[in-house]
Amino acid sequence: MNKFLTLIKRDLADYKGALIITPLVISAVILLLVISSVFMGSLRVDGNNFILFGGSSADVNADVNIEDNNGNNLHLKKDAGGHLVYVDEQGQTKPVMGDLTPDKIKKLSAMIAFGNLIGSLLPLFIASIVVLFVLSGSLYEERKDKSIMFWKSLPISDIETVGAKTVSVVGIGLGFALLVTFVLHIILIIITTLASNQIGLNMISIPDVLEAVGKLWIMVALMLVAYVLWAFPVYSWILAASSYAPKAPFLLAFVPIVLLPLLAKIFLKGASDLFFAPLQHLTGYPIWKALDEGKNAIKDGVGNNADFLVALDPIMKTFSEPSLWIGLVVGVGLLYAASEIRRRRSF
Amino acid sequence: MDNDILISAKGLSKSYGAKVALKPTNLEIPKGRIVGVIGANGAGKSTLLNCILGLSEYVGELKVMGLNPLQNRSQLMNDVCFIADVATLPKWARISDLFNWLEDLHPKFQKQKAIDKLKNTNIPLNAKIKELSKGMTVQVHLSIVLAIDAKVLVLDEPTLGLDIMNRRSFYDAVLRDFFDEERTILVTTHQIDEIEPILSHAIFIKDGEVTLDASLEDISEKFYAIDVSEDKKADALSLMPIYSRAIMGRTTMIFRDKATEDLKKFGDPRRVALADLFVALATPQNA
Repeated sequence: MNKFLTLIKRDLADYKGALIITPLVISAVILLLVISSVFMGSLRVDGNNFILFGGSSADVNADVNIEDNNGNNLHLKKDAGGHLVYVDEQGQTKPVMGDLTPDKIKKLSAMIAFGNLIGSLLPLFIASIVVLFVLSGSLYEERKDKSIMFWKSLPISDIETVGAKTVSVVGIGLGFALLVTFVLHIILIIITTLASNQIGLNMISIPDVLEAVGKLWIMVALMLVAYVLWAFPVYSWILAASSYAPKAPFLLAFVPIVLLPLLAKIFLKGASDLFFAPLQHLTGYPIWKALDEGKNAIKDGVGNNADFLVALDPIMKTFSEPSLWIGLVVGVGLLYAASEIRRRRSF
Repeated sequence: MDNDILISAKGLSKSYGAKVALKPTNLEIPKGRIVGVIGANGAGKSTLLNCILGLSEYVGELKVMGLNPLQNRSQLMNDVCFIADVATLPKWARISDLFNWLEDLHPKFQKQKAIDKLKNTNIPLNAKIKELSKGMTVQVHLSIVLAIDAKVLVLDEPTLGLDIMNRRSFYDAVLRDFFDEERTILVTTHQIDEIEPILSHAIFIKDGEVTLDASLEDISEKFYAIDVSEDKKADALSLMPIYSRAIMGRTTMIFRDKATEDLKKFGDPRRVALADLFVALATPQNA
């Protein structure tokens, strides 16, 4: 076990740039964009005045008047309590967010949590693509730079090596990206909350946000696990291609996956689903399909305080699909093939 | 199997497509020897070593320490170390990281020993392999190999590209820190003269075929060289030398399996240098 963990450590050191640095850099860029738009955006509120950053270099302090849907003129300002209010034509002062009942606050909290999650998923999405590139190079690069000769001079079996690469690239790589996504999610929620508080919109409650965040994280984590299981045969195929390819392992791995359905569509008029299977497993099509089935549950969860974990039901049902289990068996076979190819050829 | 036989091959051969890299070969290499595998570029030396190390597929029967190297490579590597003819240490890794990983990956690797060996050089422990020169990389690899308590050390042109100082210190370190009567070294090199004094066994390979597999003792008993003067040349030729070379008025002849009494008639029989014997056996006229 210690040996296996060390192999994972070794692989992480090798792929640090792709698997660790990339999600961090993407998150940093997202944070930079969000922070700059919040603190250097075109509109901020300072006391009763709005500070407008126009095209000129000079700041303009001005009261802001807006029209509602009925054409009534409303004057926006902060009240003594720091809340954003508007004064209508009759001189009546009302809170911008209306009367925030606990029910409304819960909905708003869920919306804030959900909205920020969408922005936070980018590192995970990019990581899921980066993982494909890293896998395709993992068993090829060691042959290219001859370091395979060094690793093979150690008492490490080929199956241990291939297994460790799978766990470190797919497991740790995507797991770390998931962790980064969660941290980014929390930071974005904090920034959104601070920014809305600054303009006087105190519209969320921390317990409600945390509840929504917890449920969303469970959803994302389970979807990721489901995706990895569905994509497992493709990951194994990429490793086998990487182990075999004389050159261009990425092309060897992906051209068949893309060409097969294309050719099937042209020549067989899409007669056999088998040709589409690799692409469907790679894209996680069954997960997206299940997510589409559960989208109303998510809408209800965010908009009507319903339990949006119900949306997971269709995803959980994909675990009972035979094609998932067939894919897993094929994946194990291809992983073994990758290790056998590595065992038999070192150059 | 004889316990003293470390490597045994029967009909061992290897082809790359239509190209035969190693013709069917029978070998028996005893333990406690320093074995030189000698041949020209592309002769099949590395192919033979790669088969022995379980790095490539082969045809025939091969046992290394009683194990099938292709099936049991990882088990075999508990007792076998090797340095290949090209820099194989991962260029992206730091030396310190490599040592740390090896401590967990190899049960017979002693990290402190490797660090101590590296202290004798000017290579910093936190350097990355890609920052090192070829000579430094070999030194790091050597410090790793010498810190492993192995039974067999395989060196495939390990000093290729190194200057004479580094080459000499390399072999000095191997002899001082690795070799004893229980351990075996297999080495291929172009610089036959440099390793000849330390060899106890030689294997010559030409065009994928083993042309000689003998201990240095046997070689010195079997082969003799004589510098024959012009007047005795015709008589000496009648003894069928395996090789003759005329230079500056004298002809050097190499004989196989001839009684020294017979040879003494033409000059003083002397031991044949491995380089000369290799050329003699590799020259087409003697094939």
